[in-house]
Amino acid sequence: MNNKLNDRIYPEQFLLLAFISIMTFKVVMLAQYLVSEAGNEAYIAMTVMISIEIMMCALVYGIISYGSLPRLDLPKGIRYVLALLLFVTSMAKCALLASEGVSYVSTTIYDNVRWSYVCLALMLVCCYLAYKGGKVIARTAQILFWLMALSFAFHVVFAKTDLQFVNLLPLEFSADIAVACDKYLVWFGDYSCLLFLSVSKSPNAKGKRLAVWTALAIIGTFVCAVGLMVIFVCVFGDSGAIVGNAFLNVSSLNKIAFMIGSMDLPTVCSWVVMCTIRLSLLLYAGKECLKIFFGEKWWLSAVCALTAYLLIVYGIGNLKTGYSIATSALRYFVYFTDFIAVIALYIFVHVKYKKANKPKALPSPQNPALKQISPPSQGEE
Amino acid sequence: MKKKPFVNKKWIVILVIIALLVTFDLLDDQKSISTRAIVLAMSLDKGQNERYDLGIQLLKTDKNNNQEYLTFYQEGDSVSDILETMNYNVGATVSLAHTMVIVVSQDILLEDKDEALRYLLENQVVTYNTMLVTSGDKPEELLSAKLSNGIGSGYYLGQVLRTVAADFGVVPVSIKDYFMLRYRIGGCIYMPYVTLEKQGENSYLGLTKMYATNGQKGLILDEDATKGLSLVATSLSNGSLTYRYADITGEADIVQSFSNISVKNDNAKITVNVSLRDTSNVPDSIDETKCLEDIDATLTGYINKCYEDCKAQNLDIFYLGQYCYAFKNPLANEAEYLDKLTVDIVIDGNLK
Repeated sequence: MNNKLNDRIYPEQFLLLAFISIMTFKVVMLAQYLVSEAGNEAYIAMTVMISIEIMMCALVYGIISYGSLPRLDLPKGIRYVLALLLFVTSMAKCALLASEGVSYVSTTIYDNVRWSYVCLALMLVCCYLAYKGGKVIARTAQILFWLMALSFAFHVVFAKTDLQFVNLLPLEFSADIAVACDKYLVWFGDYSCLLFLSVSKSPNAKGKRLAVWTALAIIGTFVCAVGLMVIFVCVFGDSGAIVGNAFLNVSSLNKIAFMIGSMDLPTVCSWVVMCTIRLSLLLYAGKECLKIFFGEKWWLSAVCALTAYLLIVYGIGNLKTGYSIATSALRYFVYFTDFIAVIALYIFVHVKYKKANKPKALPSPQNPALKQISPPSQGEE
Repeated sequence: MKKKPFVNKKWIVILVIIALLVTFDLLDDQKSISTRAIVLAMSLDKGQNERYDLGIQLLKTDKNNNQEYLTFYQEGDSVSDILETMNYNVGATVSLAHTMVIVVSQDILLEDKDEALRYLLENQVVTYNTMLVTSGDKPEELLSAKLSNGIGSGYYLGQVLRTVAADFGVVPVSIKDYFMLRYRIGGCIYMPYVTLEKQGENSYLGLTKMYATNGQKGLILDEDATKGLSLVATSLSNGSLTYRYADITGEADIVQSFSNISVKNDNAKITVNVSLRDTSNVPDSIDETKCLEDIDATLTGYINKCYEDCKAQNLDIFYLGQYCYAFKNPLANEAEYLDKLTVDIVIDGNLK
């Protein structure tokens, strides 16, 4: 099987994966946690951290346009250290964030199903996606994007909210914002898994189209993340500290729910899809880290999935434990590994691949030259 | 030449996943909708020795589509225990996911410190749109009342409250609104106050008043004060007002109204913008200015009645403390801010 192309994605796919990475777990329990710490200033904390994440995603894009992390010409020692750190970070994040998704499915969608069952079903799918590679994850996200877009459009059209803007005031930048940003670092920094993808332009790409999609992705991220936080605070005020699953509760504020009952199926479907893609990306990142140590082996994604499964079911087991671990000192290790890894790599590629020495653009899967070298085998994507 | 595999690996993986998912679905004990009892309305009261009295109203239908509203009651130490016991009493898993209204006693509002209601909200036992009402009668009696139209009283209340959301009068309050208001400075909440009148076999529900409380003191707002509250608390799109000047009496419909509160130093200004449409047959004979003057005086009277009645019980019904905090007014930090604030009511009306 030819895996040489399985990390190649198009820029538009990168934007979509970045959007999903940033958004997915910020709209579940994080809103409740931010309100409990920062009160009416929770949306300011979200704005600050989302802005940092978008900037970091831009740096990630700058790195992976030269190639994914395994392809970069790094010194061996640094490559191993980075791989080890990013593996630990990816697995920790996968376990901590997936526990929110598993909890949501087991208690809200179903009537107290055991975590082991939900986690098994989720990890099997994510393991397979991770095994198939970044290209498959990106294509899956691209196909299912329309489900998310339609869900969003549905809620915009049928929205019925009584927004109490007084809940947002006073507008001030108190220390509570910093405390909230510090305490919930684990929920941010969702960009390091994108380092294991490499971007190559589509042969049909037009410059203006990418600029439009980039602008839409940035605006969409702000509208969805910060907008949801604003609506959450306007609707629930300080009582948001006892309201979980923000995306579900905000999306239930529509005319249909008011008249005949809850209509949250579009939201649930699109969020579960985003959750699966996000976790697949984390498992894929873990697999790529292990590949640096063990080479190309078919069982690598299974090991990552099994590790995540054991951590979620036996290590965490419930939301309270997950919250305690996520807000412990581990959060600094996880966030700053993501942060420093990206900064370090960006400096490295900038120094190593200066303009004059910039290698030729990576061939895209449709490049005829590449087909002559290694045509895809039968049954492959 | 490589031999083609008998079955593509991809399909083997997909089959394994399907097999696992189906197997685990069979193993787990998920109740189908036919084994669930869908609760339409609920009552919550304080029993003896700090216990709770909880009642639920279900709809039972038979093959001939005959409907019967059943009510079940249970006492217990906590809401979760009671619901667990109810499953056995009812013979099905009680589901509160479609509960339209919860009738809450004043004892719960004044003594429980929101323990029971908080359990329902935090654990998402009921949806966030579930309405709350209270009554001078026992919640059990209200829930089991037999209405002349044959509909269960709890279910009927839920239906009515959804239709009067933007009407001039009673202000429907959901459980999410309850907690949003409770967490504001002053902690004052309000909800519809239902009266029960029995005439022979049938009962009639009255929905013209509100009940306000801050968890320590409670107050029943009369009809005028209730109207004043609805003018400030919600945006209206339905209702009518009578005006009188000289020997002319007429009626105007409320097309739209919304309010705005601002606080500057020790003065709070409540501005209500109201658009009215005259319903008289000969509009040319109406003096608009005098009409509006009379309507302004009426509306100001309603709002003033609501504010003064609540202020006497130290209930910050218009959340002036929260507005002080929002506008960084130091009065928000003082316990007696209500006594120090002066309130101006401005009605900005237009009549078509």
